Parts: sequence; structure tokens; C-alpha cells
Amino acid sequence: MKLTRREFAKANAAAVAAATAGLAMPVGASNLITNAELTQLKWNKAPCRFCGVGCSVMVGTQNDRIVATHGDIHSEVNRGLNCVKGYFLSKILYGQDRLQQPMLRKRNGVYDKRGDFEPVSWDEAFDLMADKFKTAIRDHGPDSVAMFGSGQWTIWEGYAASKLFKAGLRTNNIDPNARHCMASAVYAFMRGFGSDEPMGVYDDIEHANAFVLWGSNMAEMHPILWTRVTDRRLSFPDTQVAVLSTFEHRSFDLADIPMVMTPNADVVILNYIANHIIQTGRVDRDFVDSHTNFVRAVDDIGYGLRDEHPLQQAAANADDPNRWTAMSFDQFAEHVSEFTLERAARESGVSENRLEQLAELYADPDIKVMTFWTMGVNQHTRGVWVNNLIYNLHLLTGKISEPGNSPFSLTGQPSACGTAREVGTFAHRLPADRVVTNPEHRAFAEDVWKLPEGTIPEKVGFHAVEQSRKLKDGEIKVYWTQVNNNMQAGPNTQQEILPGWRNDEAFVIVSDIYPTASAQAADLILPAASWVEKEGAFGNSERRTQFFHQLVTAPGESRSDLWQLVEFSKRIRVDEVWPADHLDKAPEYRDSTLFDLLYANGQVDRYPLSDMEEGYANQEAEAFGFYIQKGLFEEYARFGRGKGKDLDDFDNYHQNRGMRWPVVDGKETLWRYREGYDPYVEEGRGVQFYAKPDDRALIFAVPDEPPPESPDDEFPYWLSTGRVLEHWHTGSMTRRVPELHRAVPAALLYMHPEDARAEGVRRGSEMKVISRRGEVRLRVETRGRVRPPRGLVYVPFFDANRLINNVVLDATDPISKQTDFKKCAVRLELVSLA
Amino acid sequence: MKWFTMLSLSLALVVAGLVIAEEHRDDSAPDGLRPGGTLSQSLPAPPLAGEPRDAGREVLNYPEQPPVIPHGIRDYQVDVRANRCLTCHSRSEAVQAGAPMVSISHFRDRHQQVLAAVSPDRYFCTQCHVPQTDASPIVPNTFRTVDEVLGDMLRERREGGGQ
Amino acid sequence: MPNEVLHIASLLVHARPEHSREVAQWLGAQPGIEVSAEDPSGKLVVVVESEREARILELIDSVQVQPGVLGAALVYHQVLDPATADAPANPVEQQAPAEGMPT
Repeated sequence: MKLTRREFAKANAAAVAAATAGLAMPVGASNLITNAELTQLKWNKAPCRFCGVGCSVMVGTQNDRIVATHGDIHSEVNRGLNCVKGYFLSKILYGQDRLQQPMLRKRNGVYDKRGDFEPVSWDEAFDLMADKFKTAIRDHGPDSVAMFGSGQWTIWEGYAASKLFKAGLRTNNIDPNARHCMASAVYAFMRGFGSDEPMGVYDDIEHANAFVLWGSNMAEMHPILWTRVTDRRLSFPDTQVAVLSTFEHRSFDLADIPMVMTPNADVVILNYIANHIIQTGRVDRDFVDSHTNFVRAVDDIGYGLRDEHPLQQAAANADDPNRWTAMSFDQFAEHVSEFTLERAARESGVSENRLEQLAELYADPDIKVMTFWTMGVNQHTRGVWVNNLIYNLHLLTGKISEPGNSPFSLTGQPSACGTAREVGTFAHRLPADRVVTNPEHRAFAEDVWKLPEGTIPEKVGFHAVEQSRKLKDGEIKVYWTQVNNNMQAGPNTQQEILPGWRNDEAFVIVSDIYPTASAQAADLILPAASWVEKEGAFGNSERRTQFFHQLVTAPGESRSDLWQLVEFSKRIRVDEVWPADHLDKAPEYRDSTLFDLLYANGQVDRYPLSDMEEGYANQEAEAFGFYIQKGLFEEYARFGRGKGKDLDDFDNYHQNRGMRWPVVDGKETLWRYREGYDPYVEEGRGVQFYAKPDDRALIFAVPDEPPPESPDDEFPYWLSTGRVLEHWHTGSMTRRVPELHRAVPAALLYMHPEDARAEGVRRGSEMKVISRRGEVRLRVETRGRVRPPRGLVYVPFFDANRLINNVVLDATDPISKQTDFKKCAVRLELVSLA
Repeated sequence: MKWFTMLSLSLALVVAGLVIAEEHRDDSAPDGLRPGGTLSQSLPAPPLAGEPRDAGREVLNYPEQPPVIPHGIRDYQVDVRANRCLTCHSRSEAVQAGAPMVSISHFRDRHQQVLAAVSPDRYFCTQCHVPQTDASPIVPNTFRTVDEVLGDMLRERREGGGQ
Repeated sequence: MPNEVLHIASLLVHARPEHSREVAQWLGAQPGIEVSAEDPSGKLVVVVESEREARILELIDSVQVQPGVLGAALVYHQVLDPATADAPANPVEQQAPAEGMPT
């Protein structure tokens, strides 16, 4: 049977439409579908693999390959749209150099830190890993092993990893790369509201009439949400968009109030706006009196540098920065009264006129304002403070937890809200907002996990940057990373991370799908499965949990992180890693493996394979003999039910386009803390910040403190780093897609044309960017999409051949331990004029 | 003489020690986007990529893929005041400009309602359509279109049937 | 001047189930249109062939206002070269649609 092109196109058109509608093409209903193979094209939904927006895509598969992807019109998030990265999802798994078998550094047939990579079997890899873990724990204690995970883990991978370390190996040394991404948001949520998630949802966009982008380039980093903001702004011309950043970027294209500020001036601006609200009598006193408390945060908290650093030594409260004391409204008003319009304009470099316009978006009771922020706020040595200062404005005016009035913390990664938040992969957390330092929380987790009292250690584990330092210091002996590329994404690569990983004391395992910079610095590389090569779940920025099925088989011997974690746990016996006195509390586990203890525990292994939806493969479930994803889900769901993190029934998520937790009686929650929307608010309360003991949110008084490093004569420029639309983080997937690579082939040094002239260079010249920590060579761009002000240069971090993190300072917010990737001091040196 | 030799020797050892330490940072590794065994090095930056000369329209990988932009767009104004792309690609101008018209899929809004003009949520073209430089791929991509996969299947079947 | 392109598109039309028969009949009576699938919930898959892009837009507009129609959405749009449209499209030889202008 031969089709003409015309018939082929029509058949295809009909098949795509039918698939989109979820409508089976009935046999014989159409004479167009004459080619039997065409009908075998299967379409399934999956959340996008990239950012935290959580767009749903339809994935077309044929003969065990992805052949097409497009936006899912049934998704409330994106309604059929994708950004350019999303449209090219089809290709991200097909880079020719996919890792397909484990590889170990060897010399003369045995592991050697200085050896060359050779292919090994999974058995050999796991045996060596088990030996390394057991030896390290026996000789140096459980805190000599650590894991660095990801907001790109599926939810159950994060849960399985967290359980393996915190309950099995008994160390809290596990942290996700979400630490680099939204840890500051996490701490601010817990400080201010007692619960770690945004109170609003994306639907706020269609209700707001003002948007403020505070350190966020949504046009590039959250493109589909930006389409919704653009839609609102252009459809309702009275809508205003304010964009504040330390450099001009694509989001400025839509700005009515564009503002470029001096780095670190945000604290002053935010305090000024609070002052403006108070001075002009626009505080919502009823709201403030009923629902908030005022507190003064401790100051002089240091910069999260190594303890011996002079700046740490000099800081009075570096040891305990996350504290505050009560104050009155009048005291707060007095505190912010120092932050005048004139001072804010002088210190920020933004005109008084613009600052006043910005302040009025919050102060004017008739304006519904939505604030978005991402890395400009979170990757900041005062990131937690700035998060809290933003909430201050929404709380003082009562513009919170209702449609259109919404402080909205954007997350960067596909499952930051799911994996990092929900199941507690941070070094201090347990699932559902619980923490390892709270004895009741530990007891609850031990009870759910059927483990003896005292199994989970109380000590907070090493956070991301501390892990790098402890590797360099030789304290971490075994280090396992999954779904991240910290050799490229972490700060101060040459002084901290690389020497740490190549330290003779350390055995470093990297699970990934491609040979990344991290894999190149590892001792053992494990080939991973990705995205729809496994069944998974992600949680997006608005608390939406979305599931996806395994749709294709992972290549070669590559296996999902879940399989790696759980299969590895079979190699370690409880008595090999638990001390005798703890084992005495549960002698029945003496001969068990960690697999028996953690996963074949009568809970995780409770659901038979017959519970799986028909027609889908599931490598892990088939390998372990039970529906492990469902078992893990049901176990961690117990942590959140009744605690405001309630999840829907497992099977529903495979059918719907996600639900926003808490899901109570089958109904998702849009606006939290507001009666009528949130089922947890008691009747008659109107607004109730119920995650706080007295139902009140906190308004914080914080001072202005200087950054850890500022430009000087020797290093006269600010450096800010970040991302680009076309590439995802370190580019390991997107740079293997030819169209995306050709669009943005290399990282460039974005600078002001006047600065270029002053340096005697031009567009295309090659320069070295040098800091006190390292250097990198880049070509100058003076007319690009990023337009820095004089005195600031910008470099994206996606380019593995230009490791800009060689240059970046490893200072963090002292509370959240999140690195400040947005400001350090550099100088420029000409290499060739070109 | 002897002390001099010893000093030289120890100096040599110090130097050798440094070299070894540096080497260890660059232990051999598979090539990826970055050449293996180069992590400690500051690699030269290649010249700025150029715009492709013979800018023909490219074959799509699948029907729903947004076409890439086969021409340069440097300094195009696309902001709240003006959209340079629509100067040629809008419904009214496309024919005269010899440019492909914005796909009619762009004339419906978030609620699938058909509009008279391009939907505002599609306003910023470069969120989906990107220009292409002349940069060569770093790593080849083995994605196969549905037609290629169908072809593979037919071929496999034919070969299988021939046995 | 001959037309240079041929547009192939598919629409998803959602009608009230009790009206879907009439809607399908109305659609079937329009030139260049085939209803290629229907389901009891009132969803119709419609394939359009036209030499003018505007024709597809007009069709969407006119379907929308038909009694019983809840909505109509364009799902797929491809542009063919009329010169080769009737050439065989054996999948083995077939290339990806070269002139497609999709979503």
C-alpha cells in the first residue's frame, strides 16, 4: 500500500489530533489510516525534564524510541506551549556519547585512583562501592560518607536516597543541588510561615495587575510562565511590569518600570518600600494586627566561608545566624525609617522616580501585585533576609494568599518542590517540613520506617559547599553524586571542588547519562537512565505533583538512580554499618541487608506488579519484583497527610495533569492560609498562618550589611553568573541537541561597550576573567541579550570548556548555606584582540 | 658541592611534586563536551560563531517542532513597543515580504479561542524560535525521525521475513 | 499565478454529544474537509486541506459558532509543496515534512 505525501500528511494530521484528544482512531472509521505502522505511534504525557515551571508535554514514541514531543494542551500550566528547550526534549537522550556501562579507574586490573577508566560490570562496581562505604564507616564513622543529589531526582529517587543515608547508613550527609537553587527560599518560608512552599499558584498571573520581577529573568529561565505574564500584560494594558536586576536582560523587554541596581542594594530598596508603605499610611492594620508578629533578626552573621576566614572570625553571630527577637510595630517602623527614598536611590543607583513607582505597586490597595523571584534573591549572601523582606511587603499590605496578590518564589528545577521539599533531601530535613534536629520529628520518621529509636542522627549533615570542603580536607572518604554536575556548577572549582574530588583520600562515584565534567573527575562512573526511561514524579513550583510512565528503554546497561540506590543497598548488611549498641535495640535486623531494612520492609514492597498500569514497562519494579514506586509513594505520603502536604491517590496522578497539594478529599488547593480555598483554615478565621504555633506570620527587621567581596583597584569589576534560555544548567543535555547548540554555542563575556572601550577591546576579543580564585578565557560580547551596566560583567555557566565557577567565590548565605553566584570581584586581561 | 647537589635534588623534588599534584587534577577521563583530563586548565575560547551563510529553511525533526530562524536577528527590537519579527512574518506582511506567515496555531489563546491577531502569549518569538550559528555540533545526536524509525522497522521486518 | 503551497491541518472539535451528529454532517458538507474520527462524548477529528491558510482560520471561526459546538482547536498544521504532494510517500524514502509550520 503506497500513500502519497498528501495522504500521508492527512493521516498524520488525523492521528495527531486523535492522540491529543485521547481518542482512539476506530478501525474502519477512517480510510485515511491505511498505514498500520502509523497507528503504532504512541502518545503519552510527561512533565518536562527541565525547569521548575513543570510544563506537561506529549511524548510520541515508536519502536522504543522518542520520535516527537509537543506541548500538552490539557495541561493547565502550559496549555500546549513549550519553550525552545521543551520542544527539543525528543533529542536530549540521544547524544552519541550516552554512558552505557559502569566505568572504573584501574591500573593492572584493579581500582587505582590514578588509573584510567575501564568498563566494569555492575557487580564489580557495586562490590567495590560497598567495600568503600563499609570500610569508611568502620574506620572513620558514618559521617565519612556523603551524597550530593538533586532537584532533578524523581520524588521517589530522592526519598529512597534520603532513607538510605539517614536511616540506613545513619548519616545526614546528603544534600541536593537544590541547595544551590532555592535553599534561601526554604529557610525564609520556614522562618516566616513555618511551612515550606508558596501560598499562591500560577493562576495568580491571570488575576494580578502588577508584576514585580525581583532578581529573576523569567523570560529566559521560566519561559512558559513568562508567556502567561506577557499575555496578561498585553491583553490588559493597565497591567504594570517592574523588573529589577543588576543587569538588563530579556525580561526588560516587557518592563514598564525597568531598574538596574548596584549589587547588594536590594536590602535597602526593600526596607525603603516598607518605610514608604508605613509613611503613607497604607499598612493594612487589621491584617497586620490579626495575622503577623514583628521580629528583629540577629545581625552580623558572616558569609558562610571557611571558619578560619577573617570575615567569619570577625562576625559576631556566624555560629548561630538563624535567630530573632520580638519587637513591636512601632520599633519596626523606626527601624525602616532610616531607609529613605533618597538613601535607597543613592545606594542602588535606581532613580527616585522609579523606586517610588515600584513602592506604589505594593502600597496602592487597588493594585493586585505578584512578586516573582529566583536566583538573584536566593543566590545571595543575604538571600534568606531578602526573601523575608519581600514577604514583609505583602504582609504589611495584606496582599497575600488570595488571587492575584502573591509573593511567588520560583524554583529552578523540575522537582525542587517535590524532591527537595516534600521528601526532605536536604542535610537538615526529613519528609514534610520535619527536621533532623527535632527529636519528635526523628521519632515520627523512625516509627513510619519501623526502625529502632535513635537510628536517625541528630547532627545536621554537610551541606553542598561544606561537602566540597570536607572532601578537600580528607574527612569525606566516599562521595556519591547523582543527577547533578557540581564540578561545573559548584563554586570555587579549582581551590575547593577539584582538589577535593581528586584527593587520594576520597572515592568519588558519579551517576550520570553523559561524561560530564563531574564524571571526568570521578573514580567510578555509573550510567544512568533519564526522564521517560523510567517511571517518575516531579513536583513543580506551584506544589503540583506530576507523574510519568517509563516510555522507552534506557540504552545499554544504564539504569535509573532508583535502581542504583536500591540495588546497591542489597550489598550492605545492617551489622556492617550499625554499631553493636544500636543493633542491640533491634536484633532482628542483625542479618538483614539495608535493602531488607529500608525497602523490603513490608511497606515499600507491599504493592504487587499487578498494580501497575497495563501497557507500560517498569524496569525497577520488574527487577525488584514489586511496584516499588507506589510503595515509596505510599510510605512518604504518610508524612504529609494531615499536615498540609496531603497527596492524592497514587493511580490518579498517572491519569491527570498533576494536582497541587494539599489534596484533600480529592480536591487540590490553590491558595493556602485563606478560608474558602485552604481546607486547613478553621472556619471563621479568614486568614490563618496555621503552620506557626500562634497562627501568625513573621515580619522581619534586618539591617543592611556589605557583601563579602566588592570590586577594588586590583579586581575592579563585579561578576554575575547565570543561565540562558537555550541551555539547561551545565548544558550536558541541551548542548548535545544540535539546534540548541548552534543557537548558543559558547559562553561569552557580556560587558558594557564603554567598559570594552576602556579596556581597549572589542566584540569578539578573547579575554581572561581572573579572580582571587582562578581564571577562565572567554570572548567579549557587547551587543548580546544581556546588557550589563558599567562595572559589571556577566558570564553564563552552561559551557563545560569555560568553567566560570573557577572564578566564583564560595561564600554562602549563612542561614541557608546557598552559594552567592551573583557577585564577586574580578579583573579582565586581554588575550587576543581578534 | 654536595650540599648544592642535594639542594638541586630537593628543588627538583619540590617541582616534581607540584607537577604530580597538578597532573592528578587532570587524571585521564573520557572526552565529553570538554576534552578529558583538562579540568584544571583554562582552555582557549574559540572565536565568536558566525551566522550561517546559505541560510535555507531547515527540515523539521517532527511536525510540532518550532522552525529555527534561518537568518540573523541581531539588534532586532522585540519588546512591549515593537516586534520586528512581525514586520515580515505577520499575516498582512508575509506575502509581500516573502516570509513564511506566523503559523495559524499562533492565532488562538490559552483557552484555545481563535483570535484575530497573534496571541499575546506568543509575542516573544525567541522563546521558541532560535537563530542558528555556524557552530559544529560537539557531539553527534542520534535522534531519528518517525519516518526513519518507520523505515528501520520496515527494513527489519523485510530482513526478518527474508530469513 | 498558481498556488505555491498546500495546507494540511487537523482540528479537534468538541460538540455537545447530542449535537455531534449534526455538527459532523455540517462539517462533511464543507469543501476540502473530512471528519476522520468521532467519539460518543462529542469529540470530532477533522482534517482540512486547503490552498489558503486563511481558509483554515475561517473554518475554525465558522465551526465555533455552529449550534452545539463547545470549542474547536487547531492541532496540526503542515505545508506541502503541491508539485510533490501526489508523489508516493513510502515511509522508507519519506523525509520529515520540509515546509511544516507547526505550533
